[in-house]
Order: sequence, then C-alpha cells, then structure tokens
Amino acid sequence: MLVFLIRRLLQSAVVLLVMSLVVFTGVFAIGNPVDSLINPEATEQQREKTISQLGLDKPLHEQYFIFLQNAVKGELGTSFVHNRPAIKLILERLPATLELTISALFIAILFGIPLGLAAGLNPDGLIGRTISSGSILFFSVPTFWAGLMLIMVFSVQLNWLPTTGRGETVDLWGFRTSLLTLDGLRHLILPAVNLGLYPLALIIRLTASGVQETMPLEFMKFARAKGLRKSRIISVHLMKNILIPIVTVIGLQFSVLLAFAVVTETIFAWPGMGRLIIESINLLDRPVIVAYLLVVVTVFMVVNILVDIVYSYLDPRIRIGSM
Amino acid sequence: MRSGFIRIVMAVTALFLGVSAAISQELTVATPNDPSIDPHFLYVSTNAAYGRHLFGKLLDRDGEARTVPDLAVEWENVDPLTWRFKLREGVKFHDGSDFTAEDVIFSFDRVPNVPNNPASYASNSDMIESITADGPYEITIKTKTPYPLLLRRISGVSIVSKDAVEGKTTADFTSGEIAIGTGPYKFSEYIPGERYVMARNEDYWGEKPAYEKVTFLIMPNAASRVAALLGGDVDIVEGFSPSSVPTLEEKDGFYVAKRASSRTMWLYVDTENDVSPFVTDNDGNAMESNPLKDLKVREAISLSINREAIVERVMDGLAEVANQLVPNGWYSFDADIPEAKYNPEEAKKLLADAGYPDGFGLTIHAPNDRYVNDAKVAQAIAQMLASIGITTKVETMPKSVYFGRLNNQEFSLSLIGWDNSLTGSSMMGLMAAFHTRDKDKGYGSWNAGGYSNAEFDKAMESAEAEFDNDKREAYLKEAMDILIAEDQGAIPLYSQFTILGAVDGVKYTPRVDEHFSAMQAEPAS
Repeated sequence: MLVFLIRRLLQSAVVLLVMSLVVFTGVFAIGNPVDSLINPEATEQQREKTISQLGLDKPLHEQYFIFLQNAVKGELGTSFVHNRPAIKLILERLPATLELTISALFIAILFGIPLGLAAGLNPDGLIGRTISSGSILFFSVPTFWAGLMLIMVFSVQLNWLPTTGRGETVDLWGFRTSLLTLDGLRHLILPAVNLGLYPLALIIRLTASGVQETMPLEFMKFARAKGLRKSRIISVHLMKNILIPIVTVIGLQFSVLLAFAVVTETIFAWPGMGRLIIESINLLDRPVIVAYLLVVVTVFMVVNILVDIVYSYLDPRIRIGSM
Repeated sequence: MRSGFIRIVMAVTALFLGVSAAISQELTVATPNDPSIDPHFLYVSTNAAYGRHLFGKLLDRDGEARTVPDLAVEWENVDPLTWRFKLREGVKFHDGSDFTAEDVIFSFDRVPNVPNNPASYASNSDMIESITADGPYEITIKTKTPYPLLLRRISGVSIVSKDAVEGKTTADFTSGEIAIGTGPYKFSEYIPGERYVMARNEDYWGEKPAYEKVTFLIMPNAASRVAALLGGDVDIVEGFSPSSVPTLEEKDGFYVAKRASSRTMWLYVDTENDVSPFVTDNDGNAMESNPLKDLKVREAISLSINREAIVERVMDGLAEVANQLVPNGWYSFDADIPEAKYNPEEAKKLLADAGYPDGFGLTIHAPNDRYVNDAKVAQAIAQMLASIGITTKVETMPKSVYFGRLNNQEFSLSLIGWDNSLTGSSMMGLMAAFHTRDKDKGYGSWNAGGYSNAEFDKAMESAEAEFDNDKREAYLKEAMDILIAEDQGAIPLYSQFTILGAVDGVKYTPRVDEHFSAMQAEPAS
C-alpha cells in the first residue's frame, strides 16, 4: 500500500511539472494580458513600463524559471485581474463547485442506479424502453440548452425556483455552504439537475448493461436456484459484480464535473471555479490559468488513487500492491 | 383534488419567492462583470463605472459626458502649467473621517504605484508634474506641459482616504476593509463571482440616490441575465445582445432603455506598409504593392459599405450611421464632412481607375467578444466588399489575442470601436489612433493602420495645446477633415447604442459613456 502510494505520488509530481510547462508555454504563445487589458489611452511608454513591471518582457524560459522557484515555495503567482494570489482565488471558489458537483452526482446516483436496475431487469418492457430512450436524450441534450430550458420552465414560466445565483449561505467549518439553508437549496436544485443529467444518463446505461450481462451468468442462476430472495440476489450478488465500472465512472465524472462545470456555472451564475477559469482564459490571466490546471490535475490524481483503493474492497482479486 | 395539490405547491413556493421579490427601496442589477473594488487597480470601463458609486473625484463626468464638480468646487488656470483648485469643505469619508487636500495628494501618488497592475489609471495623471496643498482645502497642480484637457483627465482619478489606505493593498479593498470613499454609496459586501452589495451613503454631500440598497448579481451569461429579469429576480440587466431586445419589448412589465453612446466604430486601413500582410491578388498570392495605400481604393471601400443595412439588419436598429469618428452632433463633430454614401457602382469605377478592375483579395480582422455583434459586422462588411470585386475573408478572434496583434500592425483591414467619452471629443481617439507614432511624446500609441500626415499631426498638436474651447474645436474639425474627407485614412461605420433591460417599476436613464450607474435609476412614478 505504502509503495503504491509513493509510486503514485512520484508519478503525479512528474505529471504536474509537465503540465505546468505545457500550460505556461501555451498561454505565453497566445499573447500578453496587458495588450487586451490596458486602456487605449495609455501611451507606448506606459505600456512598456507595465509589461516590464509584470515581468512579461523577460524571455519565456526565464519567466518559467521564476514561476518554478516560487511554486516550490508554494506561491503560484498573483492574478493580473484580481491582484490576489491565484491559489487563494481558486480555493475560495472550490467549495461552491464542490457543493454543486456533489449534489449533481448525488442526484445522478440516487436516480441512476435504481432506474438502471429497472431498465436492465426488464429490457423489453415499457418501463425499460422508456428509461433507455430517456437516458439517450439526457446524453445528447447540450448542457447549455438544457440549463436555459430549466430556467425558462421552472423559473420564468412556473416561477417555482430562482433563476440563477447561489442564494443564502452559512459558514460550516470555515466554508460557505448553501446546503443548509432553504434559500440556498432552492438555488442549488436547477444547476445540480443540469450538471447531473449527463452522469445520470451514464450511470443508467452502465447499470442497465451491467445487469443484462450479469443476469444470465451461472452464479446468478445458482443463487436463484438456491431460493434466495430476489432483493438479496439484486443487492448482493448482482450489485457487487456490476459496481466496478460504475465506481470508475463515478470517480472520473466527479473529477470532470469538478474541473469543467464551466457551462452550468456560467448559465446559472454559480460562483465556482469553472467560471473563474473561463474568465481567466478570456483575459489571459496566466497565473490563475496555470494554478487552476495544476489544482485540477491534482484533483484527478487524488480521485484516481481513491478509486483504485475502492476497487480493492469491491473485488478481492484486485490487490493494491500489484497495481 | 389534483389541481388542489398543485395550487398548494404553488402557494408554498410563492411564499419562498416573496422573500426575493424586490422592495422598492432596493435595486438588483444583473451584470456580467466582477468589479475591482480598488479604484486604482485595473482601468477598464466597467471598473470606472463601479468606482463612481463608492468614490469621488476632483471633477467627474455626468451622464452626458459633461465636466461637473465633485470634490473640487472651484478651479482656475493660473498659467498654462498651473491649476489651482478649491476643495469641497465638510465632506466626510464613509468611515466618518474628514476629506482634505492630503487625501487628494495621496490618491494621485498612489495611482501609478499600485503593484501588479496590468491596466493602470496612470494615463490620467501622467501629465502632472506636482501637486501641492496650499491649505487643507486648496491644492495647486502643475503639469509637465501645457495641458488644457487636465480637467477631463483627472476625472479618471478616484480619491481614497489616506488614513485608511496607506500601507494597504488591493486585497484589502476587495475584502471591504478599506473600501472607503466619499461617494453616494458605501460598500456592504462583495463575494467574488457572486454579488456586490452597496448601501446608500446617508451623509453624502450631494443629491442622494433613490435606492437605499443596490445589489449587483454577477452573471456571465447574457441569456441567463435576461431570464433573471423575466423571472423577477433582478430589476435591471446590463449588457445583452440586440437580438434579445424584441423579447423584452414585447413582454408586459419590461422595457429597454437605449441611447446612442460615445463609442464610434470604424475600420483601420493599412496605409503604411508597402506590402500589406493580408492583401493578395485574386489567386491568393501576395501582392508586391499595397493597393490600400491608394486613396481611390480606400474611397471605394468606404463607398461599398452599406452602413444603413448594417445598422438595420446586423445591429437591429440599435446604432447610428457615422460619417466620422465622433458621434453625430458632439463637440468636435464636423458638420462639413459629407455623408458617408453607399454607392457600389461608383466604388467599382474607382477601383478600376486605381488599376484594380478585377479587384484583389483581402482579409478583414475583428474581435468576437468585445463589441456588440462585432463578428457579424465584419462578415457583413466582407460580403459588401466582395460585391465590388474585393474578395474578402473574415478572421475573428477573442479580444485577448486580437488587440495585441492589432497594435502590432499585423492586419490590413481591422475593426475597432473607440469610446470618446473621456474628453467628450475626438481628441484622444485621433491622437492615439492616427497621429504618427511617437513614443517619446506618447502620440499614436494605437496607430494600427500606420496613418501619417504632417498636416494632421500639426492640427492635433495645436488642438492638444489649445486652452480656448472654440479654437480647439476648430483644430479638431480640421484634423477630422484631413483624416476622413481628404485622406480616407479610416472608414467610419456607426456609433453603437447602449442598451439595458429593466422592469417597468424602475426608471433608468443610460449614460452616454455606457457606464452603468445606480444613481441613474429611480422608482417609476
């Protein structure tokens, strides 16, 4: 276990280093934030002065080296647009995104697994077919369109829920959360549903196909022949065997939603990290872009390690040491 | 039974909704922009607009871009280099401390020295040699060179409290700790990416604004902002596409506030390079000469553009045809410049006269996220140019890439919009975009077409140094006449409108400089 963790961490460090270099070079190649931000009234001299004050006149490798030196000290640079440490900006926005992601995944799992089971157990029945085609719909609807439709129907037409924004929050262990207030929850419903649609469809389909593949197998027949209750067959024998791909997908989806909830956050004016990154890209706020991608890579790696550990509990044949 | 249940559900949800419905003393605004609370950090127009709520200046610009007194009540121009200001007495900062000359001096010193600032406000104070206090409520400003437009430029410098801000950083403004000004609103709360809340300053020295509390909700998506207005969550929406205008105008309870703004759109033409980067012959090969250097070709381009059609069809009527680079009827607008005509036949003839009877190839460049419908306008122009034989490609890109390349003179024909509100005239635009580049004097810093004409330069320099308003206007008109009527050094297009959506309960008068201001809103009677 320890060896596994150490090896994984070392791999992670290399990935982070490569990532920072790629992103740094990429943003450098796009251009210079001063050109798009500086006021057109500014003279040539003021522009040059600004560029040199920000250290953007130095050659790429020198800028990157300075960045690395600071990164080792834990400083990932100061945002050009917000004039605050980039890492602080990102961590400040993390709870909002985390809350949204967890709610979306919660909805996806809560509805996805039962619906997937129902569809898998009666693949040719009316219910099974309805669920399967419904999940195809959720797959194919573009997130931004679904989001706008949710707003138009539930907020503008029916007036049941607020259109956008985060609503009232309370402090919980130093983080702001909207999960504990009524207003906060009302604001959370639509974006969470919007973000949850895709993973919901994914989980339904995976569960359904898992069920269909597993049901005809020998050990399932044997379990039935043993006279076990149907509920026990499904919850123990079936579920344990189809959960591995589902856990993998949930883990992957968690990282993906966390990192790239951009569309939902933009449509619903949700103050999360996704919006921060898209705004930073628009303004070439390089410190934030680089720091953000490093944070995202870290999240992906941590989640993947956790998923691997969960595997070993689900399937005793998988041993951490052998990975 | 069933409808009864639905009714109960709706009644219960309506109860929750009641909480968010606006009370008439509160104004909720949907805006795409996060603010910089520090009024000396990141000089972009949205920050200047936010700043006006919390902070005073010596002089400000009102909604019509006229100079109005703010923290200075009287001023005189002692000699061409010296200005004396009397400050408003009895003004208090939001923390209760007194406003004095020391705060003015501190603020002007701080402007160029905010660290890590990619867009400094320093262009508004650079011409100043020194500021001295002659007493607690009197200051003298000396400029480096005679600078008649000083009164306009210092409206870009917000006055902060020396006691509060000394030794503090931008982050302390963002946290609200030192967000202390003399303006009509006080800082209440700022949650980045979410909301910025202000409360009315009940001790404000001037006319108090109508709303006690203003909440800016930061929403990056235009369609969601409109939905928020329709859903009753906000009272005013800032920044949306002209295509949403009919939706709002057709619905009961909403209206669109609009007016011609100070932003004029035009095309830069590469008049400098002998071989222009994006000019080709009809087969797509690079050309050995630059046809855009020929006056006839530039006139042909101007004649080929159907500005009326752009205004009506691309801008949905929310713009005004322009024949020069300041909006119609403004100070320094030259009524003698002929109307910008649309005449493709004449254009073809001019092209033939210039030696290009079969036209040539060209690429028009434009940003796609900066101005209202910028990319669509570029496409429309490309089609119009094609109709006279200039085969035109369109290349659009995000502003973060566009402006760097533009100023590097990498384009042959390119779209830009210039906001003329700072000086209320053509002064800054002409000086920056068409004076021959001169790094030492700071002229021509945005001359992306490489235009250069000694007579034009002379007229502009005379205008810059002229203290008499009428004489200055004459110089500016002369310069515009040389640039447009004689040289066609740029192709004027249109002045865009500023548009806002609002509920009927709020009366909003837009400012000409496109800045949003809660002070312009009041409950409709």
